[in-house]
Amino acid sequence: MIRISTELLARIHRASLAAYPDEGCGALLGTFPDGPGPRDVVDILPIPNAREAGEQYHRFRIAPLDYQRADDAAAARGLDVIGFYHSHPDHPAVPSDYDRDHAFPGLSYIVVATAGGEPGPTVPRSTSWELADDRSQMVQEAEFDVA
Amino acid sequence: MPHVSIPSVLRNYTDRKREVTLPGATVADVVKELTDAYPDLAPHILDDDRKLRSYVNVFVDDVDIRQLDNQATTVSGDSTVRLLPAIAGGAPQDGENQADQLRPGAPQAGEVSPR
Repeated sequence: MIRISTELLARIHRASLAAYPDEGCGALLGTFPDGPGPRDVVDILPIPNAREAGEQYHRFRIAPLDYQRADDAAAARGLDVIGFYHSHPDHPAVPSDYDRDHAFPGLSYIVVATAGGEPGPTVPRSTSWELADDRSQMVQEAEFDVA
Repeated sequence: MPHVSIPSVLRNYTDRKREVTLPGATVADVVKELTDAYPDLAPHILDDDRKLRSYVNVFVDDVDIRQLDNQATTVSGDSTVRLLPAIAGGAPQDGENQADQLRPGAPQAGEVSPR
């Protein structure tokens, strides 16, 4: 389960729209629960899409050292990278097989649908998922209905 | 002994430790020690042949081991070995079957709370 404020979710949506028609991406900084409970998103960190320009319309990649810097930035604030967000231009807010292949259990993956530079016609506009421990599937943990 | 920096995406398998110190003279040695110490980590960084998965990048003192001697790269007690899995994804290809993504019938509403 994830907990995120409407303000942070709106920032993710704005960053995703700004990246359109390419995919935007970034890290979710926050805290893991000590026991049962939600992962709590405290801030977001947009990160440049490191894929080749011609592939960014349907792929994103966070360069290893950009990821390391995000991890270090989180640690400096007493936080962790608790997940990532990325957008699907002109596609639904549902993870692809490619998303699943590159995901890790125990984190939140927010997917934002963008289309035509506006929140996608698909509803929900954004969703959050986590990878099953056996890596077999992405399981939806949240569905957001804010713009 | 070399220091091994554990990224956030893998800390679930290292008791949430950010760094561990393990013996070894090469990257391969250190990776073996790491997965022996934390067996649940192994499937996420090693393939069925116990080789590093292609999406796992390894840096020794901030240099990608692909620019060195790959897993034969030597390490010393002062070395920092960083495991940095590729963070990637993207929209489904046309015709891709998404049936293996589980969307519960009843929405599991995320907690969207104003701060």
